[in-house]
Amino acid sequence: MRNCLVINLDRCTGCDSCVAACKFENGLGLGINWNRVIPVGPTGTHPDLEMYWIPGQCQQCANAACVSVCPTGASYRDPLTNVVLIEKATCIGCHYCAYACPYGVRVFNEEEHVMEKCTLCSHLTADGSGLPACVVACTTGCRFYGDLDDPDSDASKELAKYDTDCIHLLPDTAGTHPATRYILSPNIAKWKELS
Amino acid sequence: MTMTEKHCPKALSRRSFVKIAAAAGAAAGLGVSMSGSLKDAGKAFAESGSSIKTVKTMCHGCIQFCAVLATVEDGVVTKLQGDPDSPLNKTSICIKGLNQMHTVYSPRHILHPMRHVERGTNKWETISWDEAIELAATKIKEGVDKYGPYSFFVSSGGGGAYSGFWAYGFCEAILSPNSFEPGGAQCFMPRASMAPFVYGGRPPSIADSFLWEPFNTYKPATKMIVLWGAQPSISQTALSGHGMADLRVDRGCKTIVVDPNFTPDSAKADVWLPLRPGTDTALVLCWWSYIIEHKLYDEDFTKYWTNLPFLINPDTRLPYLAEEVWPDYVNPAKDPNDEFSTPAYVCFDKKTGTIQPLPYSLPEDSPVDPEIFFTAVVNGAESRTAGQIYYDEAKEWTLEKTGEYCWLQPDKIEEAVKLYAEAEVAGIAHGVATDQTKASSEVPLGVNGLDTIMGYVDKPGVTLTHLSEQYKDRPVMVGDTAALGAWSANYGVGYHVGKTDNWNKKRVEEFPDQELLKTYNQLQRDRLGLVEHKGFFWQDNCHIPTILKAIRTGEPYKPRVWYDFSGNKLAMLGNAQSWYDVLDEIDFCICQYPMITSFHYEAADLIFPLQEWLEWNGTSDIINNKFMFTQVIHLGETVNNGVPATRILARYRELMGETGPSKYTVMPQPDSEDGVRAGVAKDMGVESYEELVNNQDKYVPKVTPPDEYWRYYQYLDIVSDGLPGGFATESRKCEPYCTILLKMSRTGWPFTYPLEMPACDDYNPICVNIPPNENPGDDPEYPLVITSGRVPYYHHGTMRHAPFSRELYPAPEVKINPRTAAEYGIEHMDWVKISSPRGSISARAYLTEGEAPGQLWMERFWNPEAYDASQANPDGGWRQCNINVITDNYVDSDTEKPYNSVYGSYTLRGFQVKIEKGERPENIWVEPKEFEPFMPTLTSEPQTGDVF
Amino acid sequence: MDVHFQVNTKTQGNKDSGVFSTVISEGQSSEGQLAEEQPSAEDRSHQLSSDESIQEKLSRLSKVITKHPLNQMVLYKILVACKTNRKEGELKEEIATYPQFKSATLDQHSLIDQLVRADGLSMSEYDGNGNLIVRGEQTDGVLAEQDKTPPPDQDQEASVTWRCYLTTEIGLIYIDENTPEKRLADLLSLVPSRNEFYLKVLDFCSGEKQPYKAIEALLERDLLALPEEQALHIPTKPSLFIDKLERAGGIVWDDGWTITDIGRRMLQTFKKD
Repeated sequence: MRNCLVINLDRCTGCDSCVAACKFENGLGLGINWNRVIPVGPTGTHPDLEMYWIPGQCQQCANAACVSVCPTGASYRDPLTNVVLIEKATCIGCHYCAYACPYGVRVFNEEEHVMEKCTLCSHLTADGSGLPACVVACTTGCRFYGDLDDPDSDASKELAKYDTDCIHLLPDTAGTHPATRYILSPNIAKWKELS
Repeated sequence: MTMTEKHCPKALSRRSFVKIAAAAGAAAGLGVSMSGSLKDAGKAFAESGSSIKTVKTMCHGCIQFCAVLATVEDGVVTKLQGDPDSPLNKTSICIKGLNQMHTVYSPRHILHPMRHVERGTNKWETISWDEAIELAATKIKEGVDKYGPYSFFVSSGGGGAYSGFWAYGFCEAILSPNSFEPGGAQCFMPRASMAPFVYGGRPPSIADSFLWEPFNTYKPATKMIVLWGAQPSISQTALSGHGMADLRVDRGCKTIVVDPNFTPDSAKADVWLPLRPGTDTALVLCWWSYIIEHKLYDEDFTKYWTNLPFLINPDTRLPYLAEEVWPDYVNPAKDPNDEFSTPAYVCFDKKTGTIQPLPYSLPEDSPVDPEIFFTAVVNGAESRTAGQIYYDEAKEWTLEKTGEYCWLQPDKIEEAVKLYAEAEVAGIAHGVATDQTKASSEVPLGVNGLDTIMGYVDKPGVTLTHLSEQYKDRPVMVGDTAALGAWSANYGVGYHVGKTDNWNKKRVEEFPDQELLKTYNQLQRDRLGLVEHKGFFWQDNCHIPTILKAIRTGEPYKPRVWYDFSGNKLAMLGNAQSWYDVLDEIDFCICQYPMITSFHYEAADLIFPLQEWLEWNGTSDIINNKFMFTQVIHLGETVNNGVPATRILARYRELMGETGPSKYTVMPQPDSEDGVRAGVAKDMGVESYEELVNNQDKYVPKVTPPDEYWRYYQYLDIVSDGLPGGFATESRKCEPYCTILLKMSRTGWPFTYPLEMPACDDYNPICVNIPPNENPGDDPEYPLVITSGRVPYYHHGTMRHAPFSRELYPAPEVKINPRTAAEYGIEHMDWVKISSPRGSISARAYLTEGEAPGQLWMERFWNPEAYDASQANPDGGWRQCNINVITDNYVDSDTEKPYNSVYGSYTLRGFQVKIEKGERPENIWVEPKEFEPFMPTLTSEPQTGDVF
Repeated sequence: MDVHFQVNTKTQGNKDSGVFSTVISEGQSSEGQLAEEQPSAEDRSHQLSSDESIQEKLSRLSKVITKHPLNQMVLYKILVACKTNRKEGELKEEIATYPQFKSATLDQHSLIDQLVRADGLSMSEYDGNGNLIVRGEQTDGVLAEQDKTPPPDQDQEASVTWRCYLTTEIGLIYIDENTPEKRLADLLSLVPSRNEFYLKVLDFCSGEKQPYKAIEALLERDLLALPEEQALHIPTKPSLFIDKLERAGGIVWDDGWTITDIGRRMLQTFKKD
């Protein structure tokens, strides 16, 4: 089971509504974001330019470094959904997971002294009844949630529409095997490997 | 998803509320939460049991309205998402919409009427609704008693409370000629009114819910769309923005974006034309020239359905009528009843090689084969066809010359024009950008004209469409419809274009209330700035710089009692300082808004509290679906935005010793919330509001059957006179050579008929090149050109107190090319100072190749934190980062004819500035935690009943 | 001091006639406006010339007085009323008699307070024994900044029995430079072709109080007959003459337009001429 997001960058216009939807849904305070939208570009020289936006959040790695480095087991993989989560009650705020995460998507909650991150809105999605708030709110319909191992999931169906040269991962430099897929067609922009 | 489980607390009546409020006394202060004084009521509600419900309503975060679902838990809205029943936004909601959960509960949301203790401070005194209405009505009366009704004026616009119709209606009820909004000539009016002038139909504006055809999923047809100065991905993010994403990705629709700014729509476009700001007319003429030269136009449509083959009298600049050349000519289309007018014109007939009458007919019935581009001798004068006149004007604009002038690559222009003209079907969707330039009339005239010569009119997939209308007779343009704006027809004023002179004369003579007609005509005559800019009659507005001068000098009379219906005028009006400077000429300033803005801080004497959209009732359409705004919650004593006006007007009339409704106004709004609800039920076609709101699943949305809604080729349908319907213009054809503009400039026709206004210089009947007032190289002190636009976090002047938007976009960013920035030693995210002769403002530099070298781009901004209680030296927050401090309205300019001729638009995009490194200004916040005082505080406010 | 300054800090407003926006030259003073024991404006200017902020102070006072049109004539009259030290109670009673006070947006206390804060009035407080209460540092009868609006809960507050107000030197200069005579004379020298209409209005309002409509009827036809008016995009409305005469102090609204004493004197002078 590989629950994650598939994000179609051919559609995304970088409006940040997913960022706000996440904050409202998860009650995040000022200065705390579980997802962000990174503008890639414009690259080139005016007026010959390309640009796309990458919404970034926990990539739901198959080999999640955050889980393996956690000294208390607070970072864990949910046995039911296989989603990587944080048990706040056992988190001691040691930051090991944040150092281990190659994507910088964990944020430290100063007030509660614990690490936080995207849960794929597990409170809505775990029983299969709902979708993550960012997926629902997305103003261009660019976000798809589901199990990549289930060909009937929204995520798998969206991927199936595209050739492999349109499907990308964030660089797997740490061997964590991120599950999250990004769709970007070459006619919109050439995929840039982010460092 | 219903409100059956209506869990409203026992509502406080207005009277008891006011009583409690009065008891709270001065403690209210600003922010004006009454939660303390109403603790008991709130507690009673809290104890009444918890409940969760979902209500169908609509978002009003911008000028398009998405259908949304609001989740309400124990009386507090905890979640907003798009309504899956919506055909366009679906489940989407953008950050502007989500912000409502903060703004409705914001400490800045005012809940009671307040009297300003002193202008230029944030000191307010809470007063009762009765006191506030009495004060407002008395002050209006004082002005009228002392100086006559022209002492009064109104304004609306600016975002957040949409009250234009009530504003104009109120103005007329007082018998004052002057209302305005910062948009108007600078937003909406030019592009919205030009389409009816050119083809008698709906404007191709993608920002205003006028243009739905590209989003037609019933029979999708749009293959190619040009976004000319429009950015739906940012300005209408979840509605037209979502629609564009569907079009591009799901339907493979090609797009061209004409925009100096590298918007997300530019980034996704097949061709992006980043033209120099304000040079659109040259590009329009280049497209005309290329299309004519390469014969890419639709020859049959142009020949028979546009007025370009008409031979034009060089003296009058109007088309010859057949009777002028052949006095005995009998027009076969003449109406024997002398009601409908269908003139016959003069053309050069290819078949006979002579000039011939061109009677109105179906193309296949035409006795002639008219030349579109020709010069012939008519009545002894060398006369060109309208088409020839256009071509002569356009042909100098070659790809190369246009490229140089507009800062474009000639091959890109060619690629774009071919993509547009060689498409099976296409259309130009026109946005606000050119409304904010001196060429505000010429650009829509030119682009609408292009669509007509391409035959992209009234057929599937185009942007000039009619929707739902069904012609029975020859179509007519009248002043009581969107086609001719305003409400002149209600007063018997205005020429019905498409009917005969005799019929119009008789109608005026037989109008039952001649005094009403004459009064309205006199108001038109005395409206400020209208002799020069008669296009304003379309929206019943006055010219903003002219009213400013009248306030300042008292000439020819002094508007002095101001009722502003919405928004932050100091952030939205060009040359803000010039407005600040006349505030002390204003005897009394009545305002209404959901929050205190810079304008209220500096100018208001009294403010009425308006509802945020979660408190509203109303209806609106998304394509062929009618949805409803539902009052999900209600706090304090806020009211629907039409209510204060109706209440003040009623009291004013009592004070004046008048009874009943005024005949001088058609102000539409009922004066109570129940009245609003009744209107909603009626609009939704449901017997009662209760029935509707308790069964939203059944009634919302109300759908017009698609085959009734999507209608095409109506100009070909044979109507009552046995002829094809045609278009609602004088010639019954598309008029890319826009005769109505010529007649308008000379007499005010058709708006002021029977009154003839004094003439001004002729308006251009075709697109001609209108250079910007200021150009790079004109003044070495101001070497950079600046333009502006929106960001997705805000709409107009709204939401600068929405903390999640502010932490993402805390201060305006001025986009600048890295090469240009390097010349000034400016680095990414440096604070910079941008100056024009009007003043200086601050912004943070955003270095990007998206901006052309030598060009800047910046969003509008203002800072409500500047008068937060925590500030040691508070100020109005409109000077720090407000681009309108550096824009010009030319009230002190020696520029000759600085405004657009037709609409009087001043320039907000494409003017010259200089830039240097600067510093973060005083009293503004940028760090996320700084916005803590904007986080919601009113969630424990009790639910209240209706004020009225 | 600099010989030319604008009392109204705006540069464009009402250039031709607006109240309180006249360009003033050094040495101009108005006759008969000041009590004889007080020095002329010129003298005061010299006395205060060492004070670098005099223009700034005058400008600040002017801003406060012209900030709100419905209050400005009342504020001017308060300055005039306080040329001699005035007890608060009787001053408030006097203000209540001004016809312009009916339309003012502030109560008497707030109006007085505005002038105190703008250094147009000085306030002195006395205890039950008639002794002056001294708060902080005082110079020239001008309250130190921190003492202008004393918090009501101060211990001393209980002992204050009455307050008095006196127009400051800055206030006196302001009065001099903006006398109604001067403003009216300026108005009548601006556009001579309009004088006929100004005088007509003054004359018309010298008897019974006149409603706007009557003045409109009086002027409209004659105005429209003027060739220069016909050339205008919008002919001048009669309200212009009312507005400018009111701002100059020639007429006043008191449930109808009526001539002021100064207006009457001016009218007589012109009639003689």
